[in-house]
Amino acid sequence: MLAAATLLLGQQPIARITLHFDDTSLQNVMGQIEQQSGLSFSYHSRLIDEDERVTIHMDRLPLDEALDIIFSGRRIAFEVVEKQIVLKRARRVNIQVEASVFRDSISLIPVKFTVSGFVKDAGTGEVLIGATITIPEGAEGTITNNYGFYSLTLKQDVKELLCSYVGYRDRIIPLLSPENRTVHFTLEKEPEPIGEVTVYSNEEENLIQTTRSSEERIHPESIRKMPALFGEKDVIKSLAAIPGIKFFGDGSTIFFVRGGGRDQNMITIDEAPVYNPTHLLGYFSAIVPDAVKDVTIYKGDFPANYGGRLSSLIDVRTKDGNMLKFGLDGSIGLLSSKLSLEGPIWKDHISFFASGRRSHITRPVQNWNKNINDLHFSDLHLKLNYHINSKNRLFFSIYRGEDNFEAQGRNDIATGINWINSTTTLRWNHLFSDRLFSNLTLLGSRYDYRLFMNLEKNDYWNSRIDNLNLKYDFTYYLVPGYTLRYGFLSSAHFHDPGNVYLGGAEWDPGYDLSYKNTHEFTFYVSNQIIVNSRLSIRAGIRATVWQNIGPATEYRVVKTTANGIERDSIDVNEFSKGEIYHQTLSLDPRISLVYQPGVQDIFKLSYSRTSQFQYLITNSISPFTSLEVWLPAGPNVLPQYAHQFTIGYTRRSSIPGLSLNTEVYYKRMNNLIDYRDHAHMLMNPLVEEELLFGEGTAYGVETILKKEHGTLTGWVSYTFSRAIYHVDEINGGDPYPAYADRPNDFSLYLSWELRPRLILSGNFIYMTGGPISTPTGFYYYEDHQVPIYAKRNNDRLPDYHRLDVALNWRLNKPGARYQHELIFSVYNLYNRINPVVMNFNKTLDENGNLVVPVDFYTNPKLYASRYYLYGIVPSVSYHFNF
Amino acid sequence: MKLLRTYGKSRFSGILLYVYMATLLLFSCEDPVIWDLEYEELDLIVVEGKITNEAKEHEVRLTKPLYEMNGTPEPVTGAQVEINDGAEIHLLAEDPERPGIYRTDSLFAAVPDQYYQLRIGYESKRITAVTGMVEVTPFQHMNVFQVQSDPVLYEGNISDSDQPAIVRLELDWSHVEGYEDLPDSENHAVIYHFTLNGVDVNEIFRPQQEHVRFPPGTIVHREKESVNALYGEFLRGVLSETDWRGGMFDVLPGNARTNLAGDAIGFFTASDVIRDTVVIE
Repeated sequence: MLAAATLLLGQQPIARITLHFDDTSLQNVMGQIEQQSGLSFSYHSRLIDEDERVTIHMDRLPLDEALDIIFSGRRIAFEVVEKQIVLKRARRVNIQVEASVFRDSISLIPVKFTVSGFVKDAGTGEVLIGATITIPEGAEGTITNNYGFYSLTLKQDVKELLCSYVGYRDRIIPLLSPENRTVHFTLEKEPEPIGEVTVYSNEEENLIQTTRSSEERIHPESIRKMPALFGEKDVIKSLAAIPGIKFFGDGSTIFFVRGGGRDQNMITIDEAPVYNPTHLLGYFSAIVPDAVKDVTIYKGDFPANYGGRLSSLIDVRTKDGNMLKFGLDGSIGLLSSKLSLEGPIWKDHISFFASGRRSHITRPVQNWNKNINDLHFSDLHLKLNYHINSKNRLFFSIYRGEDNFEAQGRNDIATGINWINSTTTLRWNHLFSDRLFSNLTLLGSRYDYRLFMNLEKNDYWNSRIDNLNLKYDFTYYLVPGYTLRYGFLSSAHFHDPGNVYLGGAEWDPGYDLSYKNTHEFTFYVSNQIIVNSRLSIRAGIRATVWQNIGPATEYRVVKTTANGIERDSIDVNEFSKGEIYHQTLSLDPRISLVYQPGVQDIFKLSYSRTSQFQYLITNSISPFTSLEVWLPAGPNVLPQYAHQFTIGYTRRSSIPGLSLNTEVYYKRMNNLIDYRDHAHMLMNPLVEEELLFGEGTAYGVETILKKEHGTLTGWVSYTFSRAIYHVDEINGGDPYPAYADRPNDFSLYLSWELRPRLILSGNFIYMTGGPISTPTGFYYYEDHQVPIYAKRNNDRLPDYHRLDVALNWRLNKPGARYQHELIFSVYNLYNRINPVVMNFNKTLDENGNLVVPVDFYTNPKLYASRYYLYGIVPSVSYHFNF
Repeated sequence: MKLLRTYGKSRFSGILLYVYMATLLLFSCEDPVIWDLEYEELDLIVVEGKITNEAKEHEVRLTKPLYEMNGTPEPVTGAQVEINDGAEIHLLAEDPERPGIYRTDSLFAAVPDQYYQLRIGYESKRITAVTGMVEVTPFQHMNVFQVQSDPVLYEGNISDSDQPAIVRLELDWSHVEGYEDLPDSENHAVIYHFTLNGVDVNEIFRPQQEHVRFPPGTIVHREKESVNALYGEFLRGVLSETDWRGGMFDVLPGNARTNLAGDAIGFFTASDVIRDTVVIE
């Protein structure tokens, strides 16, 4: 239901209204407005309930915006006549009903005027990403971009615009005359959070202009409500809710999208790539949920401005900071505590947002074992947001996440592991006109991993990736129904594949374990054409030139023949500084069609080609992130390509908030990487010789039924999918299932608002067990019983399933300034054992523990064993903000 | 060509304790289960062949793969086996007392910088392998330490090496007072210690090992064998599937890389060997 309001201020001076009331009567609020505006209200006594209790906070809002906020949702319109604010019953506008009136062709109607602007949160001034702006009576509309900006070119007869965003009250703004103008929307949050589902979508989203295949969004508020391990809310793990995304298993942040590899997913924080966004070896992701404003997931039909990975892009946007007032938000959990502070530095112009998280497990662990010197992780997000003027805006953001373990090892030598992700982003939004939006981004990022052999001597193994990117994006809202997006990216990448440093100085291993320098130049263009009210087309292309630059040493094993005997020899090629010794061009076309025959049905069709030039080189099967090396494409490693086709269908029920979405996809991947048996991954200049290259095919059907309104909300989803790889050197060239091949995937999430302040939620997940390689025979060598593997991934782990529950108990009264809640959660309620690895090499010691045998005086008896991470894990955490 | 230079793994071994603790910290568990392995009969011969610098009758063991855990291997009998050192061909005859064990018909000693070729004929199979020998380095000091909970006892991986090598330790404390009447398996132990080149995550983060504890007075017979590059590669695969399997950072399972051509698994190597005996004081 929408509220409508109209305003005719005439020549009245525009008053600004400041209100700060908690749980007061509407009559009292109106009295204050009369006092501040010098106007008096006029209305029929049955129109409003003067005794209704309301909570409202606003600072210096124009009178029309203030009235709009107060009366939106009450279906009350207003106009100012003489010295009176006249209230009257508003016309009911329901998009679901009225939008069914389609016109034959939008493009035939002459262009008259353009409306553009930003959509913001009324309470914080934060811009809202993905807010929908529509004409209430029609199907035309758009959504705000990643910077909260929209531009809509309208026909002469359009009189008002509606803006909506999930979790916020809808708002209508009248357009007094058909002329180019800037219209900023400020939306007020719904007074009480409802138990909304994680997968974001609102019922207004079924616009032909805004719908695209394989795109999902997650609202951070929803992440907070979901049950979580140890109560640690996790942005990355919440992706498990999305059909087509499969997690490795318990406790891991490793995930696979539509049959792709784990390194085929790019996670960006404010556009900067983060290569290992994990803590505690991958138990938790490194992104603080409290700092997140928006998460968008692309798993197919990638926009042309995104690239660099084959399977998915996770675009995380952090909060800009409150432009109007200071706020504090925090939580205390079993493993870590979080604190966020935001506020204006210069009201309405400069805001900041700072959020930190630090674990507090060091002392308990030290009490348990004195040999541990340190064990902690931390995150820091900082952001500055400078609203220079209506055409220019600057953002500066920093992220730094660190893990550190230190322990006294054997011989009392202090050892440890440390890894740091850091990103810095500077962005400049500039409006060249009300139709041409631009964003210039300069960013740097670093992933630095160190394994310390001796902390005191500063002996360590180090792997590092540095990126420096310059990106310029343009969005040109040319004419109604036609939007042109274009831009370029220039990147420099530096890879240290892993070198040893003794006493802080690089150790010479006797060969050149070469650093890798690469440049990437990308240009993209994308067109969105609204053919008519039923059909829209997106078509674009992304062109990337990838260059390998010296200084570098490249090795290659070549076959040589001497005296009639063929043997391997190593071809060493050295390249000087600045020399471009390898170059690749990739052209990635993308096209999608959306057909909407009626307001309730949407059909989607898309094709996209994606390419990837950087790879995680690891043959690990562990759920944890370990010593991992990233390498760029080059003369010995070809770029990976994927072609993906999707067909989708969405059905919106006449019951509000109920929808069914189904997508069928087929993905073909080229130059996929697999590994030789027992490949040498570290300190190996010939590491590329350990790689095997092949093809992959993934296909599946994903279905999700969502209920987004009411006291009981949630979804049920089912995915059937396959991911089959083919590498000539593996399994005799026969196809084999990839680790992501888990044909059946079912999930159910329910959130039940028991009382206004009590939400019970539950989450059930079922997946076919992941493929594994198990022995098909054994033999003895030096008394060791050695397995024989006839085929890779010949077996499967037991099916994975678990049930989590959480109870969110809000302790404050609705609308209170200080808000706080307790969250009780139980992970794996029925204590299901979900193994992540099977072993066949352990024996039982005298205490009944499974250990690797050491004494071979008699043949030790070996057992099959399962390695798992959790049984039932209860937790409690406390969250507050004010 | 030897491209890789040794980086002593001992620098990394200090991590092991940490890993053990971290593993416990992270709440992981492991328990035995019954698992129906899908055995697939392969027409392969398992070769365990080693010649050394010692002038003796050298042995090559031929068996068939096992198709059950903890099974007893079936010997391959009736094979033709020979070793060619470039100048002479040494025929190996099957030991009538020990089926599947083939012994050279004469005494000879392997020497460094010499290639040796193993040839096996069995039914229609033709299996070959070539190996060479590198010199072994001297023993290092045995590194044993007292057990905290029972200072009377010692434990540890009690030998290390600066170069790739296998150290085989036979421990005997059957003569020590208080231990004389125990079954042989409780007053004897055989321990292998492997030193290899390179850096492997699964070695660094290897799983918890069995503790072997012994009293002062234990006699230790040590045998150290050199390991050439290809043999080291094979042993690395064997250890990845045995001693190093089941830790936090396991690697993709796979077969150990062999130097055997033909339908065979295992390895044929030449090793420089030294021996000594020490007593734990």
